[in-house]
Amino acid sequence: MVMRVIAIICVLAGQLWPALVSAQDVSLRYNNFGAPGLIEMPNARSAPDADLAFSLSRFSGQTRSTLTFQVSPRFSASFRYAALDDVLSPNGVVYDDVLDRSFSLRYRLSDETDFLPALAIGMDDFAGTGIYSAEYLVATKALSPNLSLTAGIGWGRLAGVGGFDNPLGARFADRSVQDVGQGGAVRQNNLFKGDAAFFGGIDWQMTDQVGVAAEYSSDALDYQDGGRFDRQSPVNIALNYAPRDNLQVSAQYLYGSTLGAQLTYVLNPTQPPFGGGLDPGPVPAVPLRALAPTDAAIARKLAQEGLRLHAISRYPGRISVEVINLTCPAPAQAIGRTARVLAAHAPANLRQFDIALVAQGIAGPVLRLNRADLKAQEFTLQGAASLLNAAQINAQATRPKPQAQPVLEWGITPYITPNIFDPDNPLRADVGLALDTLWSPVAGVVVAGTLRQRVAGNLDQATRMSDSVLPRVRSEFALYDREGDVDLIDLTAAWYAQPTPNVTTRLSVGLLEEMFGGASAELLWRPDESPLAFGIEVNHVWQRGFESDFSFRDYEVTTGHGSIYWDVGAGYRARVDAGRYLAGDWGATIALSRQFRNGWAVGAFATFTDVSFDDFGEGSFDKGITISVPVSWLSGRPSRDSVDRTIRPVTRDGGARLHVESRLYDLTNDLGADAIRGSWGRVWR
Amino acid sequence: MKHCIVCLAALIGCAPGPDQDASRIRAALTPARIAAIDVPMILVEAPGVGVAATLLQVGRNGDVTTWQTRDGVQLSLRDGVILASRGLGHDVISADVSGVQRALARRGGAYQRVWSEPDGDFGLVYHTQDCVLAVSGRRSNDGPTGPATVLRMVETCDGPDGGIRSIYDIGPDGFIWGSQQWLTPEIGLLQVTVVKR
Repeated sequence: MVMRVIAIICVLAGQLWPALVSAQDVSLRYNNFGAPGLIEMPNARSAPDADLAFSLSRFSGQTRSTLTFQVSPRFSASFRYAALDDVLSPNGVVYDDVLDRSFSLRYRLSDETDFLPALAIGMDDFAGTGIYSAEYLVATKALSPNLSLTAGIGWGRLAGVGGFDNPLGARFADRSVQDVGQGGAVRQNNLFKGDAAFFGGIDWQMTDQVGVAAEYSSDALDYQDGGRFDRQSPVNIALNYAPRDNLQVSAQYLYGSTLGAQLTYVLNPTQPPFGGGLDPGPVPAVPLRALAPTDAAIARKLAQEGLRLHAISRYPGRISVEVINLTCPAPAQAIGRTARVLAAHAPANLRQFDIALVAQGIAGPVLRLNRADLKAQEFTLQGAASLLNAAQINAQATRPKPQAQPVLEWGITPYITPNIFDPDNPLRADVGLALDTLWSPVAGVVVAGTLRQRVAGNLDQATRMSDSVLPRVRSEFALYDREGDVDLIDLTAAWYAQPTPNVTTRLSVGLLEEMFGGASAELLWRPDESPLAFGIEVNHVWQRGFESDFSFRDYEVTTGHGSIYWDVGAGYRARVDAGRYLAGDWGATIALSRQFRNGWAVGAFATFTDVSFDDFGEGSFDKGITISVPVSWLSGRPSRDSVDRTIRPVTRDGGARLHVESRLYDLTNDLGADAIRGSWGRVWR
Repeated sequence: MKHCIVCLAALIGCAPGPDQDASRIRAALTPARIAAIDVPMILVEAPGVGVAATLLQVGRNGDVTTWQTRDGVQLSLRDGVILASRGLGHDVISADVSGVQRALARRGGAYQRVWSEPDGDFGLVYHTQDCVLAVSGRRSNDGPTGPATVLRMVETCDGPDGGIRSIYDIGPDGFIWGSQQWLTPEIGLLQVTVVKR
């Protein structure tokens, strides 16, 4: 039966392929696992580069929520959180409620051509409990601009129906059965092992908004208890509706016995909702009225542009300034606005402007711009590129004289501290008010603190008790949430220095984070114009009391890491931190991320230490994904703030690293020549 | 006098609050009030996004004048032709309008327009259009100031929806008293009216 269906599909496909259309022309759809696909089955298509899709699907006692990121044009990765009722374990035990977290990876091996389909390979749940464990090879070809056909071969979960001997040979014949228990270890031994089976289907886009899909599913849903769900057919059908380009909903009839629904919302970091931003226009390079050219007047004008004058010196024919970028989303925009202020209001005899960006007293390279170029290029078509070509970048320039004015800032802002995909609850959160204070008596010395008053939330309702056999450095996080409504999150004094243009140092003491206080010392060597940077950090910390006040518990540790940072290029970054973690374990963290020039960042990390998978507990090792979204992207308004989230499948004690504000690599990220060049499209903003 | 200008600007809606109504601003531009204004001013309406405002000059670099609303939205024009905008979100960052300027001077012609927009990731994306400018005819001037009749020139450019049409109403001396100029797909047409030359 199965082979007959596949044969018919192949014949049909063979006859229709000369239609010379591409499946990429057919609207992309996400399946119930949050991957490009049909209904439950995957297909070989890829989302547009950098698409970030949030999918939610539900049928018969299981809800899957998936975050899928198109990491590169060919490669995508997913993190999935599923809530399943009545899960039947291979050992016969039925679990009433299972909250399962899993990862998936996909790679498009070849592009669709006029006559050949696109081909993709993927694996699901390779490091989790194994409920959704599957691998597949799938092909997709468009038969017409509105019709595409998919056929694939699957292993694991995707070989549950119509299975046959593994075509990869005897070495791949056996696939071990797993319990729905401790996840986390990559089960390499199971990849593409066991029986295989075919799956496939058809996707027909009837109008721009409405489409239908039908598929033959090779998933037997073995993990679903028969009492809860009665699978009667391998055929699924779906009616799809896309009210907007980035929103899809689907109504489905699944496995001959149940109804299902799915919703997907897609956004793309390179498509901000407010275009280039609603930032008010900058000072014209040639204003109608110029101010008296005093340093104070220049400082006032810079402040209006979201910049703080940090240092200023005048030389014959030249003025040199250092500015702190308070609100400009892009480093080049801060440079451009500073240059405009100088062009508009500096004395006419000063023909060259030296501008450097500064953070915590640490300065980036000096960009020298000619006043005449600013005036000449302000309104030319290639004005940005021409201005950059005419600029000189010098990392060794003499620094101007600091403005010796202490800075005191404070603000009360609302906060939200979500705990997403907690092992016991998909979403917990607290909301409240945060008082942030910062005092900088001299350049490079910063005293800062954060006090939070919780107003509402359910973080304190977490009942999971730590069963860790390691020092409980993170796994008792719920106790910090539960004890006390007013929390002193951090209170530190930090000293930043720059012994040479490429070497920066930081010394921080105080309550460094919610769970630890002590001292932290860091040194970063970031060679100019190099993709590599090297850092070392040593900390001695004491565990703080659960009340988040000035109390400490009876645990102290010396922790620290050597770090290598690598700007791979094309927006990808890699990082390795090796050293000793908070629980005293030794190991290394590998982190990969895609960093967009507009401030978005999406990444993943994994930490392996000398703690065994058994001692680590659920999850086997520390891992997770990180997302950083600039507030300016969300609001369109100028801001340097961002919303940063780290999502871990489970928080345990192994591989836990100290949190420290303003680590040097992040602090100096937007100061360098690469950051300025990379955002140069905003120099005239 | 400066204070009077500020008061008047506030009265007739210098800032383009999102609820600013173009007709309300136009109604406020009575001949008496316009006569009291002693600095150049333009009225800009963006019917596609429902905003309107009057703008005052804040900069002049050669033959390019930068106009600004009270809340910082800017429009830079070279001899009445839009060259750049800021603060609208989907702005024109830079443009080459030499073709349309030559055609306006010659009362017609074919040329290319090139301009850049933000690409969403702090870069720029450039667009090119083939355009034709032609005389549409002489008509009465709808604007609050200027000559009684103007020569209407219509610019047609190839575009995503089959074509973009801009309009220039010019006086006997070649000065553009009113125009409807295409900015970007998201903003659409900007109607620029000279209130005080």
